[in-house]
Amino acid sequence: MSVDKDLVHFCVDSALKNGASYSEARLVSTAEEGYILKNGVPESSIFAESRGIGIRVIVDGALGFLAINKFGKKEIAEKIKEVIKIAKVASKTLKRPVKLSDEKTYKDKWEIKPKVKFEDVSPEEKMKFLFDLEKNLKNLKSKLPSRFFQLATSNTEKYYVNSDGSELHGKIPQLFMYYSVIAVENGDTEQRYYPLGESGGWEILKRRNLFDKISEETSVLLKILRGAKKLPKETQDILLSPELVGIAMHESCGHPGEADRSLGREGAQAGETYLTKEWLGKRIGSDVVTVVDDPTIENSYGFYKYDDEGVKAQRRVLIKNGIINDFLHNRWTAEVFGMKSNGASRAGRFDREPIVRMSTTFMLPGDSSFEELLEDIKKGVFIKSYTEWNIDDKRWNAKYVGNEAYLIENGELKHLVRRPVLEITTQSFYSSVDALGKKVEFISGTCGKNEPMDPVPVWMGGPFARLRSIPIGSA
Amino acid sequence: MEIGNYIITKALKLGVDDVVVTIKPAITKQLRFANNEITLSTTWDTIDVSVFLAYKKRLISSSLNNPSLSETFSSMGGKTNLTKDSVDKFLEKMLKVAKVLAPKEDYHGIAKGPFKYKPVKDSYDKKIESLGDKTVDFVEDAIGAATDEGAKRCAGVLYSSFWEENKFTSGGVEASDKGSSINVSIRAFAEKDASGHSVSVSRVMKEFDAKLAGKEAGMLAKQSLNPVAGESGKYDVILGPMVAANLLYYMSYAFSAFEVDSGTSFLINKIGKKVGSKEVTLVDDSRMENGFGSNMFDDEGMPTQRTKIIDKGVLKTYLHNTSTAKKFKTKSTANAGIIYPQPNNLVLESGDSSLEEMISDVKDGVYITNVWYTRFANYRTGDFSTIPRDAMFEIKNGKIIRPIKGLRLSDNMQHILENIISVSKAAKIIHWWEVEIPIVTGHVLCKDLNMTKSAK
Repeated sequence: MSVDKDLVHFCVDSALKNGASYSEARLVSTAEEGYILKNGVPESSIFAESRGIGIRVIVDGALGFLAINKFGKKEIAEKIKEVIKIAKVASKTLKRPVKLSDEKTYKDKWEIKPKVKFEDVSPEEKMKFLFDLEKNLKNLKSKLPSRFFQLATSNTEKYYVNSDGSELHGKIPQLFMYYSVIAVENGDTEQRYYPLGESGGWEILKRRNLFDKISEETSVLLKILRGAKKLPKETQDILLSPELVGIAMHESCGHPGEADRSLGREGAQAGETYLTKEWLGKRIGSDVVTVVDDPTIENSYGFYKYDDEGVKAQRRVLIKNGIINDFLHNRWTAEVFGMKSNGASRAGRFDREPIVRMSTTFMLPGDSSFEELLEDIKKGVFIKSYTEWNIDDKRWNAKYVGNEAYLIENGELKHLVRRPVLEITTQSFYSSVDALGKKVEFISGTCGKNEPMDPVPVWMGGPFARLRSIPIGSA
Repeated sequence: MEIGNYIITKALKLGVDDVVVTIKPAITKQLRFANNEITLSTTWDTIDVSVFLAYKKRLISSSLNNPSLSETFSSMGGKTNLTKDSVDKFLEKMLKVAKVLAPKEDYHGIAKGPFKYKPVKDSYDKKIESLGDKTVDFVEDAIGAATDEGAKRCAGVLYSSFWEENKFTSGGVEASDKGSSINVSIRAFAEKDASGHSVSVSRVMKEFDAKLAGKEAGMLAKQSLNPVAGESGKYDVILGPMVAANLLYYMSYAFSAFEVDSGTSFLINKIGKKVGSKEVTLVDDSRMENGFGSNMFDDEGMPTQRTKIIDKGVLKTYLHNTSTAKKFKTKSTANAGIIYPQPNNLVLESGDSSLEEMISDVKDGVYITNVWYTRFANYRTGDFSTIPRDAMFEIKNGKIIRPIKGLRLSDNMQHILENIISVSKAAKIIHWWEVEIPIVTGHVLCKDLNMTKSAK
């Protein structure tokens, strides 16, 4: 792959010449491959190449954006003029012109180097990996009427220039693997799905032992169907796995901490947030709760070195010892809040506006072992994995339905319980945490926000977490 | 158009069995707004090229949004600076890949044409191409109508779009369709906890009404001021059009033969069986006049049709492409997706009720006007939950008594279809951020649905 740097500079200059006070252009070139194995039968493989430029301008205090995948300079210049014209008209509706925070500029080239490049692994071998996963299910298959394996690899190259003087050239390979299985026993059924995403090359699949994980989890599904008991609703303690803590951090800390939601900019789409600027310094949880969002973890699925406004990636502490500490910012929200951007501006594709997004959102660990967390629970539930989940658009009322979950009695794990439902407010969740495990684990996800929808890769995670006195019962 | 035919001829010469080429140039303009201000104006000027190849049941879908190729394609019919070399290289590369892939043994080919097509009425309006900055007026109209009703601030989006879809297949198809659309989605806030949402969705200017969308959103916002916490329990629930559309959209996977074949549909083995109340007649009308998803042909180039999926509560068919239809020993419903058949305009046929009648029929119930974040505990059973956002009301003894908040609808998709008591006569097209397939529905009254809330 190579990018036409000259064309990117041309876009930035052309916008300035035509009246923009600020401009930036981002050429993104992506090559993707995808493979699917459905109930042992391969579906169509996918080979997609996309290449285009996203150009963002500020004109008379209004933001304009052009996404184009035709590379003639004349055509691009014409379109930039049109975008500037509409932005000028739109600027008349503004009470407060858009300004971006002043930020340091960078000229840099960065790259995540894979150990094994995707292009060095044949399509045959990629497909074989999925067939091997299917074979690995062996005699369980007859109980699993739905088995779905998906593998996707991508190589993305990005060249970003802004009129402040930043020039950033990045390359990142990413792998995504997804499986879902549905088990049926005596007419009853349960499902499990699991996404795995990382930045790097083919070596990711060697490092992660998906074979054991899938076998184990499908066996558990059958055990649930054979013997999980309904949990009567009562107030008890709960122990959450890193998978549960991870999804909760994403939904009830990361999303509400997006400053653009707080300013109402996503009001008609992903919604707003219970958090306002006035919450900074106020308590939302217990002392043990510290949550960060960190794009600098190298192999993470949400990794980047610079965000899509040219700001250097950095760790943000969103909740510090139970106190709301920071928001996720881009250069516009930072300016409105009267501070510097913390580098959370992302676009998943060339044709999407960069807006405030998460990267890897996780709760920092404590100092307890799993056994120590467990032994102090007289009566409770351990939820290891989840199935259905959702949260309201202010990020206050969340629901997580347990998949693999066990009753806890006198500090010991007992039998499986069926679909325990944790339906809880954000404040109750964070206030009820009293102890945390020592080790953080991550799960992968694709975060949805923006309009049109712009899925971006993320990680989320945390340690095992113990919550006291929570009303919980089976669905 | 010669490039489409060139790809077909060349691919067949190389030994490929089926080829489908789609070339879609499109211009879309968007205005986003929040706090009554336009926050961004965007133009997308793109050309998407996709090629599907089948070689001895080995399947490849590729999209080539690569200017080095697509610039060539965009000049079709005019001055061709086509580098046939680049097309040749691409096809040779794809064929090399296809040869090492494993076959999809249950693949049964694409539609065999050529076909005759009838244009869909009101699917293209030239006026939309030349709107320019007039779209700013529409945004101001929508916001103005909402604030006139008592809203303090509005957020939303307005799109105007026009495109051309060119289809070439080895099944003898060479077809072209033109389309346009304009739509607004507006959410109005009267206070932090008091909001309403509405949309206006059309293919042509004459049916587009930004003011009405703004007015509806504004009225709901005003009516929902000072909501109190709702109580969990079983209720008769009136689903507003945005809610009914959300549920129909999220359950639409179950109609696709792909999902039935995958084992993930809650409608497996239910053809000819009762899956809903007699009030439920659900149709995919891919040729609907002014239908937001209407098209002359499906992804294989087959002429689209009107298909009854559920007739008075009885499941009649799944949605098929040519290949899934052969596997299921039936006829294609022209809903390709070459891989994944899906509806284009899902229509819940109108009943003879009205919102007012529904309210008066409810003793102890809830009226929900919008939901989001619909997620499944199990696709095969249809167990799910979804969360109301915007105005929600408690109904007692046939009257709305107060706005409420903080509830969740936790139920099952088939249970919902079975418990539909009435559907309103008036219906509208819903398509917005949460509902990506156009759904036509009115208000729907369901008995005994399960509402839950946070326990702490």
